[in-house]
Amino acid sequence: MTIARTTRLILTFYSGFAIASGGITVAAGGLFAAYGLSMIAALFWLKVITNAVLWYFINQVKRKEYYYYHNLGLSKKVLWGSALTIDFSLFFLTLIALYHCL
Amino acid sequence: MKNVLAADGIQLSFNGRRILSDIYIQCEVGQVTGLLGRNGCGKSCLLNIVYGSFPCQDKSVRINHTSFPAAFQRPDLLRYLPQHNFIPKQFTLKRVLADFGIAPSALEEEFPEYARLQNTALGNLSSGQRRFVEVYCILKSETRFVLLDEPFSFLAPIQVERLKKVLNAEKQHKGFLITDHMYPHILDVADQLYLLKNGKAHAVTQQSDLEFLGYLRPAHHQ
Repeated sequence: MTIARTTRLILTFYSGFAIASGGITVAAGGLFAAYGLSMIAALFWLKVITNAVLWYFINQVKRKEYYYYHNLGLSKKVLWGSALTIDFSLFFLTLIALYHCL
Repeated sequence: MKNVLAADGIQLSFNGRRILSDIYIQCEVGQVTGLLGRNGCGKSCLLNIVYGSFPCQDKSVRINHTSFPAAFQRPDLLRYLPQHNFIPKQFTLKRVLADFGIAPSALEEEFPEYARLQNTALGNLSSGQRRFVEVYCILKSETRFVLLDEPFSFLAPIQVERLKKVLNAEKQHKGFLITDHMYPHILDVADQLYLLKNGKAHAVTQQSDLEFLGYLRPAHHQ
């Protein structure tokens, strides 16, 4: 399978919960802007817990769709590993950008 | 060398109830292997175990004598059609064909009515059309073995006949393991047949075996 196709599939999978997860990142960014570095640990755990909830929700609602990705060579581990890497990268990049701006 | 998918030693229990017991099943490239059985006898569990997506400690799944405990990670060797819809409904037909490496022209040549549906999301197709696309993609995509769980359910008879033609063409270079409750179609396409009963896979060579094993009513009672 081509890298382009794999990337597209991972991004498609991530898009299934990107709005909800992005909303959490924006909210965390707002709290970080308001309260500064003292909030960093709490915001990190907020992100971890909300992603765990999303993971549970997606596994309930879209579990049948995993067969689509399996048939294209992408396991659950690869899908979630890649999606969460993207998501946490965006989360930390947002906080780092805010830290430098404020 | 023959290309052979073999699974044996499969044991599965739920709450102390034995579902599958020391199952042995195999299929070869160039053949369609049919799997029949009553509801709840473990056909779908068996396919999932062979595919590797269902955890099962006691099993051996081999392709040409090489073990593949998680065969689902190798779509070049094995693909699986689950009995439910599995393609995200927001995907367009064009996108799905591209993901499976199937040229749109291949579908359009065989089934012209799908030419105008290339940009249609699967969720906007009828349930029969949606299932047809799913079966077609699994049948046509490049792989060596294919597991089909109820491919003919929800399809109109004419669609079933058309898919059986695709299946017969594709079996020249693939091996199929197929199960469906529409058993006449299975009898029609299968080169070899198993019946799952009481957790065991029984090899079936003629229709009277199905009657003897209690899957069909004996002909003289009908």
